[in-house]
Amino acid sequence: MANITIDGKQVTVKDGITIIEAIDQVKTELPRYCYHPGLSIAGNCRICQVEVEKMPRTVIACNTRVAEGMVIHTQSAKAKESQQVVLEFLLANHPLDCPVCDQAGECKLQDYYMDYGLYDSKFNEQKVKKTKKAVSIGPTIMLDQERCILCSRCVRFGDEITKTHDFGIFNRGDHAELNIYPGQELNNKYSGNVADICPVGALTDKDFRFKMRVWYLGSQESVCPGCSRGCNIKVEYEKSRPYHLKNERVMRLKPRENMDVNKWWMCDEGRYAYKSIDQNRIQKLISKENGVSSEISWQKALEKIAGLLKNAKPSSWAVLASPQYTNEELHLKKKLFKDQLKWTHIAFYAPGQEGSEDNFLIKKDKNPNSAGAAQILNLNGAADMTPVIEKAKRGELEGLIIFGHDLEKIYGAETLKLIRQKVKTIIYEGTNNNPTSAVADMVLPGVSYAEKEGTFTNFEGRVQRIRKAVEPIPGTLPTWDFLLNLSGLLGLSYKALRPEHIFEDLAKDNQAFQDLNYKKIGHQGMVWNKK
Amino acid sequence: MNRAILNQLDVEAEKVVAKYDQKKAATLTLLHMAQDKVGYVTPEIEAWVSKWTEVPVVHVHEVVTFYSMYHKKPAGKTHIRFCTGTSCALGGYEKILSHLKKKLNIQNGEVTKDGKFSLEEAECLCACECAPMMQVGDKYHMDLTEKKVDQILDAHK
Repeated sequence: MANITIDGKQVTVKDGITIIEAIDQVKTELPRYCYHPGLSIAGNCRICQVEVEKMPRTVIACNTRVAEGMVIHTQSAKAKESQQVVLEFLLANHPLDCPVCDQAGECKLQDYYMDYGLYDSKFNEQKVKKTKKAVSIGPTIMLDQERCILCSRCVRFGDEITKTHDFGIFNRGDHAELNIYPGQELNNKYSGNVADICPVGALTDKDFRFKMRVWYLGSQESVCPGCSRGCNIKVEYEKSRPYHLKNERVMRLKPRENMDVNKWWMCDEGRYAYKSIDQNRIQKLISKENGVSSEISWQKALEKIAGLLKNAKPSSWAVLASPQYTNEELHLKKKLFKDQLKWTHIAFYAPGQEGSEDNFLIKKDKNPNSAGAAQILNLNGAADMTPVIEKAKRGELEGLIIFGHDLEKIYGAETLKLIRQKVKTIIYEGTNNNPTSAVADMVLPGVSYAEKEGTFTNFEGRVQRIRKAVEPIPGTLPTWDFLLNLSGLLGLSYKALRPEHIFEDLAKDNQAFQDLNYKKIGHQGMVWNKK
Repeated sequence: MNRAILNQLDVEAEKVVAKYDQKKAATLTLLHMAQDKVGYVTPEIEAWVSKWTEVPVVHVHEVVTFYSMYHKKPAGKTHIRFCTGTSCALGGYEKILSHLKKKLNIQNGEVTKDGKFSLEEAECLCACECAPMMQVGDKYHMDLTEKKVDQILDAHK
C-alpha cells in the first residue's frame, strides 16, 4: 500500500496503480480522453496533467505510477495551465462545428473547453482539413475524421476487446487521420461501443444521430433483456420535449459499468433491440364474444377471467409462463396457478429459440430470466411447453393462458391454427402484437421492461433490478399488477402493493432468494443463495 | 502477378523473420523487400506482410502511410527525391527544381508519361554540406546545377 495525498486529501491506495486510478478512487474530476479503464494505457492525449510535488514538470496521471509519499495536485495553477495548453493543441485542427455536431452535450472536448478553454486561441494557422466528414463506415457507425483527436480508444477497442482490428491511424503529424482499413467496413457484434468510448464527435451512432439532443434525455438504470447475460444498461428516454417524436419515448440504450457482468460494454444485438418498447404495442384490452371484438375495462376483464378460472378444472387449463418476465411476476404466477389453483399444466420454456453465442457477452439463451423462472416455478425439468402444446392440439385443453409467447414463431402457423380450433378459451397477455395475440379471445396489454420495476436473474444467478424509465402507455398494466388483482379475486391475499413487496414474499418463499431485498441488490445486483 | 512475386519472396521472408526476437519487428524490412520487387506497396503486399509478422493488416497500413519511403501508388522506374530543406533553399534549389519539373514535364508526386521518372519533394535529406541536392534511386547527387541535373537525367534514360 502507498500513502499519497491528492488535492490535500490523504489516501492509502494499492501499490503500483496509476495516479489516475487513485484519482478515480477518491472520485476527483480529472480530464481524460485516451485513458479508459477497460483499455491499455496509450498516454497520447496528454490532457490528464497533474502536478506532483518535487517533480520538475507536470506529469500525465494515466501513465505515472503512485509512489509512497506522493503529493498530487489536480487543480493547482501549474496543473491547470498544463491541461489548458494541451487542450489548445488538441483543438488546433478541430472544427468549430459544435452547433451541428451530434456529440454536443456529451462531448468531453466541449466539456473541458468550458473548464479549461483559452477562448482566444493563439493559433492563427489554417486548420488542416481531413478528408472524410460524415462517412458511413459500417452498419452502425458514422465517422467524422476532422473531429477526431486521435486518442486511439477505438483502435485499442478493436485490438483488445473485439480482436477484430478495425481501426488504424494513417499518415503522420497533422495529417494523421483515423480510419478503418480501405475497402473494409466496421461490422462486428460490439461495434456500437466505439461510439460510447469516443470522447468527441468523431464516431457517432447512426441509430441515434440527430434524433435528439442529449440534454433532452432522461436516463434510468436497467438490465438488458436481450439474453441471459443481463448486461447492465441505461435506458435513455425523451424527458422534456413535448410534441417531439411523440410515439417514440425510448431513444437509445447505453451500457452501464458492472465489473461482474458486462464491464463497460454491451453487444449491438441488445443495444438496438429497444424499438419494441414503442413500436407495435398492444394498447387496448380486447375481448371477443361470439366472434365480436370489443374493448373492455380492466375491472371487467379481471372479473371475467376470475369467473373462468374459478370454474376451471385444474387439469383442463394450462398456463404458459415466460422467462421474459420478472422474478416477481413469475412468483405471482407460481402462487396463483401452481399453489392456489393447483394447475398441473404449467410450462415456460420455448424450444428451439436459441440464438448465437460467443465467449464474451452474448449468450444463446435470449431470455433475461430463465434461471429465475426455473428456480421459482420449480417444474422439476418439465419446463418445456411442447407437451402442453401437444395436449392443446389433441383438444384436451379447455383454456390456455399465454404470457408473451408467440406460438406461430415457435411451433408454426399450422399448430397455432389447430390450437385455435381445439381450445375454447385463449387468453393472451403481452406487450406486442403478434399472430398469437391476434387469435386470442382476450388480449391483455402488458408493459415492457422499461415501464416497470422488477428483477431478473441472469445465467449465473445474479439477481439484478430493472427500473421504470417511462410511464406505462395508458390502458396497459404491468403483469405483476394484473396478477395481484387477479389473485385477490381468487382468494389469495397479499400485503404487496409494489414489486418490492412481492420480492419480499418471494424471499420468504424461495430459498435461493433468501436474505435478498431491493436495497441489497442495489445498482450492481447480487448473486442468489442457491447452493 | 503480385501473388507470384510474393510467393518467390516467401523463402526470403522466412529468413528475415527468423532474425528478430519478435515477428512484428520484421514489418519494415518485409515491406521494403516487397516494394523493391513490385514497385509500390499494394494491398496484397500489406496482407502478405501481415501474414508473416502477425501484425493486423490495418496496422501494417498504418506503417505504410506513416513512412514516406513506402510508395502507395506506382512510382517511376527512377524515383527522384528532391530536397527542399533550409540549406538547399539557401543554395537556390527553386530554380533547379523548376528546371527539373520542366524537363520531366511533371509536378510533385507525379510520374512521367513513359513511366521512367517520378518526382517527390522531400524535407531535409541530411546532406546540407553540399546543398542543393537530390536523391535519384538510392544515390545522392550533390552541389546541383541545372547542367548537372541534365546529365543525371540523361544517364538514367
